[in-house]
Amino acid sequence: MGRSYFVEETVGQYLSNLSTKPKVFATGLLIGQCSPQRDYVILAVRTPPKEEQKESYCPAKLADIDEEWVTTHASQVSRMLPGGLLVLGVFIIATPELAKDTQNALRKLVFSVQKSVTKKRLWNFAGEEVLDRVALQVCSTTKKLVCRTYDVQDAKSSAKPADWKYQSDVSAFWLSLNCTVNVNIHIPLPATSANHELEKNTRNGLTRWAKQIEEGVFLINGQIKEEDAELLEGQKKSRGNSQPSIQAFDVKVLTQLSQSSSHRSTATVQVCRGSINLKGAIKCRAYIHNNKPRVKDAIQALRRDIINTLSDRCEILFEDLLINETPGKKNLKREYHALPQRVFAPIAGSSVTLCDYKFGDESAGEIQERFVEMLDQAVHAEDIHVRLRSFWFGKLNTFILVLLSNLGVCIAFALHDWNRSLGRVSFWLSVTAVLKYILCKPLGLWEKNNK
Amino acid sequence: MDILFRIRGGLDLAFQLAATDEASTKKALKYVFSDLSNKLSSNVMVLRICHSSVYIWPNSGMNTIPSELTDDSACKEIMRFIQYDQEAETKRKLTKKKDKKLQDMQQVVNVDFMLEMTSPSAALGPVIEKENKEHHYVSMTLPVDVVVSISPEETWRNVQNILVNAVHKQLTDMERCIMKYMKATSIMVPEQFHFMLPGTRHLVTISYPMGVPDDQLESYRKELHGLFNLPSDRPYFRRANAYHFPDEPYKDGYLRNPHVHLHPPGLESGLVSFVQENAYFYKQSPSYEVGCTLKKLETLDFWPEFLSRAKAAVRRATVFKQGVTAPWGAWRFFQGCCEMSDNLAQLDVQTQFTG
Repeated sequence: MGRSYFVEETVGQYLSNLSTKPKVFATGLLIGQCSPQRDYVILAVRTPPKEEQKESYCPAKLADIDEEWVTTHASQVSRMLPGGLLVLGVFIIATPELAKDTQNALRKLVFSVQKSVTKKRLWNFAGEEVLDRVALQVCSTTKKLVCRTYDVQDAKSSAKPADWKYQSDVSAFWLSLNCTVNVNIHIPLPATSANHELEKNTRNGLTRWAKQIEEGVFLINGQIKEEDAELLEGQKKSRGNSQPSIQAFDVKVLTQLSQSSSHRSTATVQVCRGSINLKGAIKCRAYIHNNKPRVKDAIQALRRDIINTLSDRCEILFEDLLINETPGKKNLKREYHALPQRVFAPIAGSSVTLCDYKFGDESAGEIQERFVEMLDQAVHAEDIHVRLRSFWFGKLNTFILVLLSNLGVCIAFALHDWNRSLGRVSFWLSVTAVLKYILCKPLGLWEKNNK
Repeated sequence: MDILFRIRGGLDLAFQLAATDEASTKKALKYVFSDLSNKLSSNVMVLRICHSSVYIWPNSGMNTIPSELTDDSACKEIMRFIQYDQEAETKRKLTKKKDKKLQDMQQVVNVDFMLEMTSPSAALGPVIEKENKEHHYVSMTLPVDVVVSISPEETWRNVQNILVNAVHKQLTDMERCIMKYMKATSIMVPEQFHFMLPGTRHLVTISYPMGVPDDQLESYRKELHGLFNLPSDRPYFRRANAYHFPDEPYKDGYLRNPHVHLHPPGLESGLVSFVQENAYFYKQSPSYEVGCTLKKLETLDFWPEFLSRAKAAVRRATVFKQGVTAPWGAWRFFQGCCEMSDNLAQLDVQTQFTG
């Protein structure tokens, strides 16, 4: 008995729309979630045309598939998925004449896509994890589907038949887990590694940090839960509710440092040529389907999102630095780089949000363009949630507020000396407080700093 | 009987040094310790009660069982949430049945020291800063080991304050210990030892620099004798005299109680007794009849080295354990005991004359 894929109906429509276009064949990715019992597919995305190619460009034979382009697309899409969602496999829509060779092409793509999405991951697959990835073949004339899976851990694995079922509410009922993780990674650079690229050094620090996250204790809604228990245990099911809904869980991550993590009797002293500091607070999110989800799977999804979001941001930054490299900057005494911020946007007809990363100088329009290009999804500018404020904006806020408070106190003392009337002082103190409120309210600082 | 709360865990201490002279190291240390102290005063500090699902945020009074453990609950309530493992539970029950005296054995609540990585505040776009500056990077893990003895009726609110203050106090002690024994950038890791002083039932915790032998700490130990008004006839503050917690294995590996790994023989006519430490020489001792053979066997094995009568190497207690648990091991062990008890009797006589 092969695996079962429960597929959102809109995916079927999307595939049939693609197959009506006058093309010999089209490739794309399938996105969803793996669970021990079954897999869920919520989105299909066609491989975007290359910039130099026009929409109407039409390769004639399967050998023309640009494998590198497909895998690059897969790794870009993979960055846009929150925890729990992954590239489940690939599809090819082809004319009946090509049907014979499609399976071989699919097999090749399944393995290369998997390789590209896991290439720079800082975590490893767990022992009992489902590692079957799907290869979907669609005939553009008959619309006939052939669904097979390959075990991506075994390079010699043969195709296993799988079940492909359409359902209307696959992407509607998901549970989300959220947390904001404080990051403060210090990477000392001893003489031996000081000349390495910023990327390599940062990656070393991230690997250590990822290990700490892997070993962390996760509390869901303030409670510790048995790993094999069901996430929704003890909660009433609201079966009557047909509205797509998201039940959100707040997660806390705790870490413990072993008392005897080092057996040294003295502190380690390293002679360093420099150091790297990675600081901030990152928003992390994971989704899990609400069909008997296990605590273990939910935690694993969030844990991987925490690790991925930070390593992906660093990757994006380093790619950007490579493109816009300014000569001579390397020798500066101090280098400063702001990592891109994470933005979430909902996909049509689903309660799930996907994400993208935005540099400070990028506009919402650019994010929208990227959603169209990478995910073939139109998102509204007002749906893009930037729940972040930049690190330095945060610092500036605090600075302004401290300045205002000090000013208030100074005025109050000056008045106190001048008048020596206690009543007058309290009056002026209230005036400064009101002033502070008026000044801070529009900036949104009042709520933040007066909790 | 008071409950002992024992908090253990590690705390990262790391800082950069531009200059390596002692004054600047001390200045940097002071700064980093005050930073750690701020951390311990915030909600970042979390305590986990071992063998339970209880986590507490002592600085905000929050915990994972808010409906059952409120600020006004008596702290003994926490015992309800601790699940002992099978072995410890059986032992506890047996002890209750067999020996009333042991019923008021010290109750220890082990607590893990943890740090929270998440926060409820809004996200802050992360930044990478690279600094190209020559410096020394000093890092170590401070081993936290705090013990507080608290009355079972004390309110949970007060207990949380006591625990936080005790952790702060230990941080100060560790800072003092580091400052006292550091030489330039060579910084000793402070290690905690608990001592039960004569005439008291409370433990006193002292931070000693790891790796510095007791002899070199003599002046400090004498100072401590003065501080606690102790006579100078016994080295109370030697590391070897530190308090041993009932739920902790001995570090030297010697078997203190040979009965620990023996299963009851199940003989109806048999007599099961508890062997009391060092009491088996006296016939009036209840341990004499049953326990003495086994106890003597262990003693016999490491006495020769003490008495310098034989060059036989000390066999570790684990060898006994393996021997006894092997098939027919218990029977062979018993036979061996019978043979050896005669030899031991002779050795006893010799010892009385020479020792």
